[in-house]
Amino acid sequence: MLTQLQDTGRTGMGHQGLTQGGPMDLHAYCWANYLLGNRMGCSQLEIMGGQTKLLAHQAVTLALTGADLRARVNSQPVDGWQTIHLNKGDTLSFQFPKKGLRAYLAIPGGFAAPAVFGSVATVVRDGVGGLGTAGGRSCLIGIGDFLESTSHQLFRPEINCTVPARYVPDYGLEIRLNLIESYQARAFSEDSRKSLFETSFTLSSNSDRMGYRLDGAAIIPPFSGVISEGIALGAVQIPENGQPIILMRDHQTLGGYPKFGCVAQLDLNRLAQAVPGTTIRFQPISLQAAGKKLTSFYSFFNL
Amino acid sequence: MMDIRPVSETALIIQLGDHIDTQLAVKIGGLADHIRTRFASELIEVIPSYTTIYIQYHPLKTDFMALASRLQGLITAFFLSGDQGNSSPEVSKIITIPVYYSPETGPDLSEIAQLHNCTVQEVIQIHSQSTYIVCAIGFSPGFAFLGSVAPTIATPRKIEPRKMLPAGSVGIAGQQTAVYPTDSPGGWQIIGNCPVSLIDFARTPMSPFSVGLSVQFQPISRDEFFQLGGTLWSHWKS
Repeated sequence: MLTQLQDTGRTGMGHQGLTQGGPMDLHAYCWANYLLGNRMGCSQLEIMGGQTKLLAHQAVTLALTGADLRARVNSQPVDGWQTIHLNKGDTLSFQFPKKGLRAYLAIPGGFAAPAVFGSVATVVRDGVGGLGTAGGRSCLIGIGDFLESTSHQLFRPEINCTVPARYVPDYGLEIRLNLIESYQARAFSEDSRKSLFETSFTLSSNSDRMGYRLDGAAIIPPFSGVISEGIALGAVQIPENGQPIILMRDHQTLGGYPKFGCVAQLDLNRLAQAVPGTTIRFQPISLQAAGKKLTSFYSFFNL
Repeated sequence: MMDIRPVSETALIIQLGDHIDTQLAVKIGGLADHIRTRFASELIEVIPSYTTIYIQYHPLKTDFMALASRLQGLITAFFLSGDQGNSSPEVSKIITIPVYYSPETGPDLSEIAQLHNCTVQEVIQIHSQSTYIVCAIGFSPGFAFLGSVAPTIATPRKIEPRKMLPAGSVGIAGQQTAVYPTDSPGGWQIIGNCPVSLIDFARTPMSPFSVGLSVQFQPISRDEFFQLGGTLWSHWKS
């Protein structure tokens, strides 16, 4: 439905208004590169919603992680979270999602594409990234596009790896998001804080790579807006209608809504796999505890 | 005023004021450049805006406590040094933006004139005689928020944003003005068009704007507009 090229994102350009982008599910993305021994910056396909078919023009070793999109090699079902070998002429196809929303497909060396400010990450709203050049044209991967690797060694029969089961998330029903209360949280009333932490929300279908909207008890913002300021990944904005918006990978660089805090970054990976209607609850986490989890993730994957 | 507070596991925000002030924007622009240079290896984003500098840092290279205490020292020294953003020769530069102000490129021009009981020519004159300061960049790549528009022509945003505006559209929203660098949806009141491209992803920097710089608009004729590569947009609605 929506296949795009992603790497770890276009960083250092926020002061010019450029969105970072990057994989919606960084956990699944990192494992796909890890399985192949790739650098973490090697670009992959983020396949959202399935209904995609790829043809191998030559023998190739792949790593597939993330959502269960009922992948098949030719007509045979294959499991994810492992490496897969394709012969020349094989097809790899994806159907409607069984669990989760986005699968990640890595190849040795990553996909070749022209970098824009050091990254091939697709940000449709900014008109950058993907296979195309900057400006105006669609940067999604479409029918007939030909994907090449940056490596000449595409077929690696010696690599047969599977992600250990304890690192394979269950993209099940309810989601708990750890929330770091930040500097504007104190301005919210105790009732608002209670509503946020003690009631559940559902993920709205009006959600995209920029922000995930939640439906539930209205959280009354303490003021209607702040002077526009730089805004973080995972920020929980409370607009005037009281329905929280969680900022995802393609979020804008500046924002003016009051913010309750930030969702711990590792929890966004799981959120990125949630389908509309999923139940979502918040629980508080300290900055230190969230920081510890994130640094061990960064260390493990050498990010 | 200076307050440094954590935002997330990888971000903090420095608050330097509580109201919009173009002089503060100049200082903030200079300070943000200074921070970006000094801490280049640890920082991922340094995003200045009207009253704040947002910083995203690499969580394996520093943490909030360490970074906050070093920033505190650096900011104090920066303000004490008296440079306050004037250290960069760039700051004294004025960016000139050619604009063809007309109803055919600025469908809200006549309405603004009517609203303020003046002529279209007066609106053009007032808009192009001021020097503006880049207070923030965001919304879309290279979109610079410029302050401040004279109260005599300041006009609130349109109630219903337009679904699409052509690149180069020059607009007013309250006391802010800006040029849309790319085709974009937008709710600002459009008064003209700049035919010169203000963004190029293949160039570094990709846009002429940075926070704290001065900008002036220069009225051009219809002929000059076409000579500079301008084209008319036929899709204006309402």
